[in-house]
Amino acid sequence: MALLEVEGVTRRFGGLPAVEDLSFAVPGGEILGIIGPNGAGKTTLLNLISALLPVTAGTIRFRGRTTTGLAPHVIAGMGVARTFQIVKPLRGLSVRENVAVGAMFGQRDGGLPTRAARAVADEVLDFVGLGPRAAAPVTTLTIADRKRLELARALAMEPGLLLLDEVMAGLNAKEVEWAMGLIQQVNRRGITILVIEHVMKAIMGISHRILVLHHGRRIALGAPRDVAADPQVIEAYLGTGYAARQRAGA
Amino acid sequence: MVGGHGTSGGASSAGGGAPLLAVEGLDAGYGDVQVLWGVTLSVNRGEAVALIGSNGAGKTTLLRAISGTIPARGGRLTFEGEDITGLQPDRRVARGLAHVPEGRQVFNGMTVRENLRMGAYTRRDARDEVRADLDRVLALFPALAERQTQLAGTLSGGEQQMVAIGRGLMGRPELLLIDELSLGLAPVVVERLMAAVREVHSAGTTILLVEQDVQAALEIAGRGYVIAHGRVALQGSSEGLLRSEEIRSAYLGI
Repeated sequence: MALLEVEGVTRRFGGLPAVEDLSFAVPGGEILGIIGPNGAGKTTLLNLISALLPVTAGTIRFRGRTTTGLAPHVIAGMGVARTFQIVKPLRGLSVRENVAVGAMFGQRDGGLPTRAARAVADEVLDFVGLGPRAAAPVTTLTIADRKRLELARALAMEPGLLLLDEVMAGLNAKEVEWAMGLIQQVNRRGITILVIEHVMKAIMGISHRILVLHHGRRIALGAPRDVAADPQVIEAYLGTGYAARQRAGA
Repeated sequence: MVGGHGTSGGASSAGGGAPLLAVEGLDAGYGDVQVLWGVTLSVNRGEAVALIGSNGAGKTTLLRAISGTIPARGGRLTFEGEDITGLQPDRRVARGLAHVPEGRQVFNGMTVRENLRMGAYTRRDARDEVRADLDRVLALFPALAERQTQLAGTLSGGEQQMVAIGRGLMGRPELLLIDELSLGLAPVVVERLMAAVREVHSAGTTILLVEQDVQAALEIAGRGYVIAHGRVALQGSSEGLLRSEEIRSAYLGI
């Protein structure tokens, strides 16, 4: 049984489908990269999995249990954590307190008491390299450190499935490399990962498989190398004219 | 003839003198997020140059920094040999640098004619010169000539794009920056717009064109830069880029 199953999922905004009749399954332990041109439906898909948005049609299952129709915090409690493209730390709190909140409220079986949550926070902060900044107010963090914090908050939930939405946006080349390594380390801890990323080299480098969305539909799913050679993917990214030229062997 | 200054258009002539636009080591971004990292490129007078690259690469940010709608955080911009890095956007327009923004951004509540006249806002030359340019723009886009008194917000997407290009031309630019002409438009409409851009170029206006559709962009441009992750990943002649395998890997990472 796959860890996550998405079956015939559609989400419309007004009449406009953002995700349409989408099906795929993610086995436990995988890093699945999600790519697609602007407006392909990538973030909407993460919003559907984490139930920030209800599906219009279709079913999503996590560990065999249907999650469609459940509240976001219930799904989080089942072990589905996510990060956001626009990070919004709790501004009045320190770095450690921000992460502890994830452990106190996000973990399975109702979360941890304060002291245990702090211990988890410290462990996670060391893991993402934010240990020395634990006592700092979050407002003093650089963008790269805020991305680390976003990841740490999600990890403090000790999730089985981690949804990452553009954690590398705004990072420089060195920081991207570091983030790639960190995602792989998280994965080696046994956490399954769905990752949206615009930095193609990065996502192609760390993903076991790549799901390509275009206008809300799945146009390819497979190994990075196969996906990058797929005519439909080339057409979606480089345009119809270019794809036709490639097919003609020019 | 539209918006030209009488320079002979067409093929690039790199030799002799400074480039029309030189971008050196440009850094730019929004809030805490740095998007461009040390971008260097140049556009010579009379050229059409394409900026291509997948979404999120930084192409639009680059055009915004060139037109001054966002500030440069590092590096230098020179236009006609003069440093314009700290110049306000309207001063850049007055110097001959017009920007046709992504998503058209026409003034919805104004008529087609008013929109076009707004493009000449910074001009200080004679009224009949402006009127003559307006006539040229309307000749370039006959569909607009029929709709001069219509509110721009009621136009189709393709017509709005014509207004946006026409508004840019009304500033009599030496260099026209065009961002994603094809966004959300049907292929047949895109073709018509591309033909108009080609006409503007051959009439002498230098073009810097951002486009996701690689083939369409490189058909108009003599050469191009591929932007990936906020940097110039690849550059070369359009023919060379189209033949190169690297362009695909710059887009798709493999």
